[in-house]
Amino acid sequence: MERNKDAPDVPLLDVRDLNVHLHTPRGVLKAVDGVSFRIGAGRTLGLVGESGSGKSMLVRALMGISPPIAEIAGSVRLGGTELVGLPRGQARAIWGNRIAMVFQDPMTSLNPVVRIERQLTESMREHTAISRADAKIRAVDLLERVGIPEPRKRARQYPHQLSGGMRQRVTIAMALACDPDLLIADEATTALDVTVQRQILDLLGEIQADRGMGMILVSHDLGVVAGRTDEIAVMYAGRIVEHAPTDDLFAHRRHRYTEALLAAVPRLDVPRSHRPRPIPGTPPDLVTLGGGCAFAPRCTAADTRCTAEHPATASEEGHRYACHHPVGDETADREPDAAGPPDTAAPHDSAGPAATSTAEEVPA
Amino acid sequence: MSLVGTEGRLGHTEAGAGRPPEAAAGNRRGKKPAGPLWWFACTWLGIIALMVVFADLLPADYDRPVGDGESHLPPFQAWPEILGTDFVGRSTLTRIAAGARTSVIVSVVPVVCGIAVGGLLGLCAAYFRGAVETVTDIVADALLAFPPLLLLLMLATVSRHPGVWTIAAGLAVLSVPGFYRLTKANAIAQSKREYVVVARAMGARPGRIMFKELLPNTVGTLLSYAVVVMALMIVAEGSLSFLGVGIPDPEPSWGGMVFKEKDHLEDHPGQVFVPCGVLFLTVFSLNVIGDRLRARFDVRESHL
Amino acid sequence: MWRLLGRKLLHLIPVLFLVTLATTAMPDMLEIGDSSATPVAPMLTSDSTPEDVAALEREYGYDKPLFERYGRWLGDAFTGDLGTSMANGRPVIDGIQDRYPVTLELALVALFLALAVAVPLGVWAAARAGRLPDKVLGGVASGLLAVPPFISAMLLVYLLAAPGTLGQVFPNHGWTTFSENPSENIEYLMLPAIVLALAEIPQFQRLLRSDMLDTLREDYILTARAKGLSSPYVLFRHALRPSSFSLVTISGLTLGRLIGGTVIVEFYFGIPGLGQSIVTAIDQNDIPTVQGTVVVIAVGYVLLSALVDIGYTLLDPRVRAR
Repeated sequence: MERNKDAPDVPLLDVRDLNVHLHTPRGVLKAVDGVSFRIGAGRTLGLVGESGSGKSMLVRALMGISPPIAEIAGSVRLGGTELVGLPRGQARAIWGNRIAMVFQDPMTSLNPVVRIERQLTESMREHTAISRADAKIRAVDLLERVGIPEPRKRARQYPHQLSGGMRQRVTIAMALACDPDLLIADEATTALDVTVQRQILDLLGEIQADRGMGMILVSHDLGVVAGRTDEIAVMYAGRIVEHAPTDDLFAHRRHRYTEALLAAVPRLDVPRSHRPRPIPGTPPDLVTLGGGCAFAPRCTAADTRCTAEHPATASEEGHRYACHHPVGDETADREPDAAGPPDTAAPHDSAGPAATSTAEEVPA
Repeated sequence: MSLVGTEGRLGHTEAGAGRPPEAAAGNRRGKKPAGPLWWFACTWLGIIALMVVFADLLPADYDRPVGDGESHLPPFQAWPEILGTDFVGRSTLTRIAAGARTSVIVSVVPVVCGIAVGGLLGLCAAYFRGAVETVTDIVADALLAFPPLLLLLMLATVSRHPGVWTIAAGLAVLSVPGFYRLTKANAIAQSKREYVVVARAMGARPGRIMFKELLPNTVGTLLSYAVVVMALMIVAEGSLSFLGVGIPDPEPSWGGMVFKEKDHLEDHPGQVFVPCGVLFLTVFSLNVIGDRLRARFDVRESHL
Repeated sequence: MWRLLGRKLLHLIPVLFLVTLATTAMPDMLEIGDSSATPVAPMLTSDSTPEDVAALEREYGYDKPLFERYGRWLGDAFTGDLGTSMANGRPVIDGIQDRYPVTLELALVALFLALAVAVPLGVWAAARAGRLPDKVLGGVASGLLAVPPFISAMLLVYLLAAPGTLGQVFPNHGWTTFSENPSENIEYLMLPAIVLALAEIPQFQRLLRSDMLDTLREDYILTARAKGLSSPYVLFRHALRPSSFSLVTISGLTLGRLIGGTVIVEFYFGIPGLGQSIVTAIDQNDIPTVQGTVVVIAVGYVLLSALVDIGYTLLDPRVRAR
């Protein structure tokens, strides 16, 4: 897959210390807690984490579709424009136009009583001065581009007349309607059949390369983002716990949670004895979260320090992680992109963070 | 009202994004504190109850002019005729109090009959299904096919000079299909639950299942509906009397009072709007209480 | 879908049978209450003998048993003969034909008014759910629900059609047909239509609000918002239609109910519609007129409910496809 590797000077998207706090009846839920990252134009970021890790809340905050009980703080700059605190009227000109999103479930994310055509043209008509007739022509072109046969006929149909894969192609076409600079795919293939998943991911990759868009690929599955991203950020309990270039992450994963996630991915190319190992326990309750490492209760390497003290973010040559007991060098010789289940690693107390920085600091 | 608001807000929480784990669930079942509207409704119905009980103790008779017999005395001008007098000089206060008795009869009797007949038929239909249900459904549909006021008008036609009890009987017929449908729907839902299936499997007799298992679990819903139906019945009697085909004049009825005074609306609005206001407040209070009961029993339903 | 439709139509037959039978049985019910009462009372004079009564009852066929009368009535009804009024000797069907357009106009205008007010309010309340506008609207709606039409009629007449208060904006009594004088027709129509609409608005508003709340939780609403569309656009173009299915059903049923429920306003505002003719006929003990009018309204209502079921499919493309 061809990918634009040039890192531009001004990042396309620059997120600094973003917080999304939900005011629930039980208390404040820190769905996103001090998240920072950047995406260059034409680059792809994989955002990985279990359900409830805050990845959906994060991208929804970027899209301005957080629930009304959400309070958003921090900074989100899109090519220099600050989105947090921007009046809704001005922000609307960006959403759906410069940032667009493909949702998880194509069965529910298309309006069942509105024709495909109008669902495609309405954002063009909202954001550009395109005429109704031209918008319809463009809609058919878009459907053709995302690989829908008989696009002219399909445009006149309702969503229920299309298969799941077709519908997801339609939602992609919808997202592309205004040529966005940044495309967010929120678990865009999770609800689809495995064979269709691959087609959709390939389509996203092609289009991204074609148009030089930035892209955020959100998934709970490391396997999905492995070959298709430049960088991967791993989220846990509302924070980014590890963030590294994709190859580097797979070769030298440092955070214990990343390790556990990798071990949980089923693989065909490893011996049967290396069965996928699910992560024990469940993600923590984000309302009552204490001060230590959020992963400590489920971590095989955790000690008293982990439950007491929040790990600072370490940074090594663009590889950031926040762990008191990072995975040591014994896994470093693995082939990139072929991470099998790790050996049962003994806790490495000696391998403390090499270089520490604060969580808020954004490495260049 | 605030109940409605909560529902909306919780909805958003769930709709929202990452579906925060169990975030909203905890609060949903909490009982709503009784608001001022609820207390107002209870107080008003208390006043009506007092009127019903003590109507005879009022100084004036409902069917004879008071002392000096001055007609169309406006409300809030004299004592003890605080609500004024009507077109022949009868005490409005006494007639309102006596009319409250009429309203109680025309609302309570039909509801009791409706629950008894409709409830029983509903239970039977739910238990036996099949042909029994089809027949009762068709009868219920036929009754519901008449706009309710028309059915009452037919009744007024055949009974010439209806008294309170005739009207109550007619209203009872009207209320049966509603209670029937509600009981049936509820009981069918209940009968799919395990405890009924178990009872049936253990060979319990139909009567036992209906009255010991199905009925107790339907009572709450029936009760909240009954309160709303009482309000509807009061309005129906009022409407009929307003048309002049309800309870005839010397007998007191709020709707009848409005009917007799409606031609004097411009000159003596008080005489029209006092019974109107009393009827409105009573219906409103019943609705408030019915809404609250319904919300409460719905909650229980949803987390069963 | 067609099988469902067939079952519904099959269900209609026994319902229609019971409705028509019940109206035919009216004279019999009359005699239950008072054995000296007779359905031919309006034709009698003070010196009529029991023989005259019997002769008249024979003439009108009231001496026959119920089912024979029913068979005859049904046969006549299919040929458009609903009997003859005892009060004025005209065929009942003629009176109905004169009057139903008035009632229909009133009911349709009232329904239109109710929807025109309730739809925006329902959407607004849903969009502001739990906030002040929603609470205020909810309070007003539950207040309005407790105001029966005869009270709102008196109140509106007092405020808008009596010389005393806000002045005589509308006439308070009378009627002119649209073909005679459109503007006068509208003047006469306004108050009664508003009275009827007021009773429906709170129900429509509540229903739409709660259905809208369900729709606003759907993913496709998020999709629409993520396109940067404006809130009104999302609410009205994306959320309203999928939320309006039950409102459409209820509107259809309400139209049926309104045709039977115009009695009070027709009576009070002196509008020569079906409802007024029923009240007059009751006054005159004119059973054939009551019978014929009630049957027409009830049958219309039953058929309308069946039509509403079919109309449902036009709104929802998912059902339409099946």
